[in-house]
Parts: sequence; C-alpha cells; structure tokens
Amino acid sequence: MKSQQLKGHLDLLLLSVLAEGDNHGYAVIEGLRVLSGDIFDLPEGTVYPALHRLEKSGHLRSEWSVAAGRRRRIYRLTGKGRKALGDQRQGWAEFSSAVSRVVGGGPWPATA
Amino acid sequence: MAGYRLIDAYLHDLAVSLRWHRDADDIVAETDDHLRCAVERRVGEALDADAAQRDVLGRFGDPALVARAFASTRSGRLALPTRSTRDASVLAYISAGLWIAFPGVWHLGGWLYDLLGDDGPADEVGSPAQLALMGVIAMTLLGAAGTLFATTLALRERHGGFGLPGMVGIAATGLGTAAALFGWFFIGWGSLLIAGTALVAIDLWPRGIAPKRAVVTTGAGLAIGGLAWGVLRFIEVGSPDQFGEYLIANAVGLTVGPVVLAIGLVGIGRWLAHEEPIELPDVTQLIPA
Repeated sequence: MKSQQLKGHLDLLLLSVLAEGDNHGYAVIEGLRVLSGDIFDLPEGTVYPALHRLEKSGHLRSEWSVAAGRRRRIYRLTGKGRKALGDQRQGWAEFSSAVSRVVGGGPWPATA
Repeated sequence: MAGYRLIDAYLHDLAVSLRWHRDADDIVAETDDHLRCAVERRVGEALDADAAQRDVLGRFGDPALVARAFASTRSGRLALPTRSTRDASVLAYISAGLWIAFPGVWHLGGWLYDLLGDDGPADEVGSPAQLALMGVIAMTLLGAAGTLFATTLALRERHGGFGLPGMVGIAATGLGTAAALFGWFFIGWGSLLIAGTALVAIDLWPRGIAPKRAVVTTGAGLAIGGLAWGVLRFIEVGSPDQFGEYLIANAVGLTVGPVVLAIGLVGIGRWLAHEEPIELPDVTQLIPA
C-alpha cells in the first residue's frame, strides 16, 4: 500500500496494535505487517516518529528496558490513547462503511 | 554485536543526520534494537548476514529520510536548525541586553527628566534635553520589544511553524512592539507582551525542542513583573505621586519582569547559537520513482 494512503490512518493502526499489549517498536511494526497480511509496507524508520508523536501527545507512554544486551523501548497505551482509539475506530467504521456503499457497485437507491 | 558492519555504518549515518535532535541518542538506540531484531530474525531463517542487513536497512529507509521524518511537523514543514535560526541568536542576545538596560534607562531617564524640568527652560512639551531623554527611553524599549518580536519569529521557523497559541502570541508580541511607541503607557504594551511571550511559551513547551528552562523563563518573565506590580499596587505600597502612580510598584514591576525575561532570552540565544545548521535532502530525492 502506498505510504501516502497509509499516512492518514497510521495513528489508528499503531494504537490498535498496542491495544493488544505493550510492545517495542520492531514488534509493533511486525504486528502491523502481519495483521495486514503484508499489505502495509512502508519505510519502517518513518513509523518511529509517529510513535514518538503519540507519546508526546499522551496517547502512549514508553519505558526503557534491556533485552539481549540492548536498550529496548517498550510502548504502552495510556487511558487517553485507549479513548482516542475507541473514537477513531468508530470514525473509521462509519467512514469505511460509507465508502463501501459508494464504491461497492451496488444498485442505486430509488429516488422520488 | 559482531558481524553487523552495515548496521553499524547505518547507525553512524543516522546519528550524523540526527545530530540536531535532542533525543538523538535514544532514537539511535531504539533503531539499533529494531535493526538487530530484524536481522537476527532473518539470519534465523537461514539468510546470509550481509543479505539480511541489506534487506532490513532497505526496509527501514535512508537515514536522511528517517531524520526528515523526525523533523516533520503536522503542517508538513520541517523543525530544523538553519543558518537563519542560528544567526537569530544574536537577536535574542541583543534583546536580552536591551531588556536588562531598559529598567535602568527608564528609571534614570525619569529621574533626569524631572531634574531637567526643575532647572531647565521647561515648557509643556519639555525641553530639548527632556525630549532627547524620552527618545532614548522610547528607543531602548522599542529595540527591546522589536528584537523580542524578531526572536519569536525565529523560534517559529526553528519549530517548523506554531500552533494557534503561538500564532496569537506572535500577533500579541507584534502589537506590543507597536504599542511600545507609547512607552509611558506601560500597562498597554506590558499586557500585550506578557500575553505574547506567555502564549509562545505555551506553544513551545510540549514540543520539547527548545530548552524548557529558557522557555519558561522567557514566557513567565514579564508576567512575573506584571504580577509583582499588581500585588504592590493592590496593597498600595508607598504613596502615590501627583499622577496617582505608585512608584515602588512601577519600579519593581518594570525591573523584575524585564530582567527575568532577559535571563530567558539569554538561554534561548545560547541554544540557537549552539545548534549546527542542517540541510536535509528533499524526500523526493530519496525515494525511487
């Protein structure tokens, strides 16, 4: 999928992956790729600025730990992030349903 | 970890591209973890180590592209140190100097004005010497406010644009600078500059780019002076002069505020001056067609 198409929905996707549990950046990006069936393919390095932005806005919190002798940053969804995720999921459901109705090729509704 | 020379070279390039970023070390450490996780997984799938590194680095993106993504703001502009933001440090220093000088010029000028009025050929508009003194006071204030305004514009460029609070703050600072032409009406220009500097600081604080201590001191400086003036005026410290002015309140407010503001501006100036200008390549040059 083109990066530009994904860009507007990246926050929702990242929050959704982290709603499944706390994780580090690589695992979040892998989750994004696997859950999308390899459809979401964008320069992985550009995902981190989005994670940092979400942390700065209070939707995520991060903590450093050590794994395999390396520093590892673990992201966690905050209450604010969980609420934003709920709102964005609802918005997405309405939007995608509306788009499907328009482009789905169904019959035109009868007009008076 | 041995054997991952391509990753080491990449991390070095990334650190160079991100040298302007306050969290560069953390970003590089996080990238290091990501890249090694990815390579280890591919090597575990029996891929050659060099091939695994090339694949992983290709997916991660060019270091300059990554650095650019960290500099991108919501408006699509870049928040980066440039030659002009570095040069603007001089404006911050000049502004700090003028704000430090302003209380002295104001108080000394006022005292000399009265002195000349007593002895000189004063008329309603004042003697030439008195007018010259008023000019010095006005020019000092105008210079201090004008360079403060210019510094806020440089901060806007450094942050890749402001949000609504910052833009309103710039407008208030500009109006305050214009109002400084009427220097004696310090409640007018003072209120506008208090609002302007505070709003700019409110915009800058959550971004975490400028040093927070300097941001707070700059944003709160004039407000502290205004608060000191208000408290002293409210409890009526000292006795009013023939115009009903409480000189102690005026003296404290017009000294404390500018001095604290000047301390903040020195911090801003020092930060801007120590940032190395960065020019990142355009994204279109990095992504193959």
